[in-house]
Amino acid sequence: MIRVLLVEDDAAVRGVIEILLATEPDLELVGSVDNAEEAITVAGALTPDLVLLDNQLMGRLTGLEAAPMLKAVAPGVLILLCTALDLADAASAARPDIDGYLRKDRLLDLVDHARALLAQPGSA
Amino acid sequence: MTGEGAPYDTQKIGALFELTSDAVVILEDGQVVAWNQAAEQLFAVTALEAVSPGARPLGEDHDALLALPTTEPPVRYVLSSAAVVQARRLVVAGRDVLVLRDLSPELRRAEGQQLLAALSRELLSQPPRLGAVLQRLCAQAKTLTGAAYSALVVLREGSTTEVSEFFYDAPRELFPARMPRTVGLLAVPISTRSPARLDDIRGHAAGVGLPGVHPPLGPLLAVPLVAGDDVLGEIAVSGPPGSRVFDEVDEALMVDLAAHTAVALRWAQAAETERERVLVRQEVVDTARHDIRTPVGAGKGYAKLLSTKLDRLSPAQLEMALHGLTDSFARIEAFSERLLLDERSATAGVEPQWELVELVPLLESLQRDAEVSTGHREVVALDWQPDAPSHAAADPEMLRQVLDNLVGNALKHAGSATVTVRGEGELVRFDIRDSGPGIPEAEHERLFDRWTRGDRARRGQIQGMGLGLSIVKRLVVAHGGGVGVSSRPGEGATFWVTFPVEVPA
Repeated sequence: MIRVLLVEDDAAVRGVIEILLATEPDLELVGSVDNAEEAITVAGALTPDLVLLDNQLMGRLTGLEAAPMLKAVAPGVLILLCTALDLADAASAARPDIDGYLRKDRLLDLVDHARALLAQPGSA
Repeated sequence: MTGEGAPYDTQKIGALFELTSDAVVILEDGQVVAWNQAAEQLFAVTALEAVSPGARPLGEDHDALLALPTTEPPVRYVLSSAAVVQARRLVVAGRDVLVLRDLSPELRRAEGQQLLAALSRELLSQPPRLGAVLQRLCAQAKTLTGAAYSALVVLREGSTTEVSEFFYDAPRELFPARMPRTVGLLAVPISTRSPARLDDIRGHAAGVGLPGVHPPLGPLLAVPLVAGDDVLGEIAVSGPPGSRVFDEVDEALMVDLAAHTAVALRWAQAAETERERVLVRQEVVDTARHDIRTPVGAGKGYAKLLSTKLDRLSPAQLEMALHGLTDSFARIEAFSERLLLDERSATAGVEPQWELVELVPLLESLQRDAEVSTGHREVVALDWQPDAPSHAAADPEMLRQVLDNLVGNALKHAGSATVTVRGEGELVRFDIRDSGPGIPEAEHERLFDRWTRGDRARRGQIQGMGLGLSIVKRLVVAHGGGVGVSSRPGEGATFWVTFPVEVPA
């Protein structure tokens, strides 16, 4: 079972992910929050395998700013940045604490991305 | 007190005195220490004698000497109370030397024409930048007339009262910190299309006085900038009280300056407008491209869920997905309408269609929409003060756009907002408060200008705020209202706007 924490401030996008994960037997939504501060607070206790992280969020921190902190409180967690950026922009924003990118116009790719990431040797 | 020029030895000062037919005055620390005969003729002998024995500073009757700039190029015209002269300021053997040459009106006119011809060639040799043209005109006006100050106003296209550019070449304290919105003092030459002196302006119905804090001005001469049938603006010269009164040569040269440069000014204005239009369109497109992706992505997500997983969805999930799909389309539709409005407000003139707008339904619908877009309850709190008017006089779409924009920003930065409504004289005031990261004070002034976004936004994290606030300002100003912000880093921000309560007559 892949445990997913969703950090997303848009209600519609949250809705898609919530329904999607409810229909996938090997993925479980363990938490859903709309700001990075709360994500950092709950990530340690929820022990997710994967954080689906939006960049533009409510609150003071952006997703990219929060990523290293999430890795600090939940060691070994994989971070998938959900982005409305172009792939070219995403590539230029490539960072060691981001394990993958999910395009906002292809939300259902989350399932394949998550399975591929978690199947990699050395992952949680 | 240093000037330009080759260093001279003391013997050469003597030679200068003997050989030149020009007036020479030696200054030390702003005090006259010596002069030649020609200087005596040029200035009243009594005045020079009066300052000689104790080597006291020049009195006000020699304001022209004192008004000489120390940072300007060495050759320029200066004015005395008696004559128009050309001066070269030199440092000779460590002494400040003025070499003065009396100019006849004919000579001034001829030299002025040469300067103007050169200026025209320069301005028309390539597409001029508006800022550079304004600067050159102001500098040239001072050179031609020897005035201490110059100022220039360019009108908004098609208007005879609204200012689009304001430029001055004068001490800062003489002018308001903010650009005037309408021509006040300088309205006369624009409405009469002819040169005006301070007396014309004082005696004219349209001649609004200078702001109360304005230091007193001496003589003033203002001429309209006319291109074809259009008055583009005007240019004025002035100086401190007691300066030489502008004569007919000054007036002729100023009229020539306006005639020579109005075409270049219009060209620069058109080029600037076009550059700006292109930039604004690009900004609108970039912002839209980013902002549309979330609702489109969500809509696609719901559609894909319905098409690939229909058999696995529970009735509740099915209903949620259908609702989400409908909602996404509604957001995309609202977005495209707002985009059109943004584009229009950003690039075209704003003409409110006045109505009396009931505030309670307006703000409650704004509150509901914020709940829908964030998926959270009570993200926008309404605080009705006892003196809050029941309605505002505004274009309903524009008022909504202004409040949407400010509330949207608060939600982006802080996730929630409080809107306080109160009366303020003839106005209704909306304060939109958030508890976000706040905005450094240095940013406040520029926040409402186009292209300016806070640091966070420049890092690409908050999109479209610069454009949004510049649109807010345009819309509010078109209603005769005001806009502002108070904020400190770490303490959230309060944006406020005012709208009239009654439709202006």
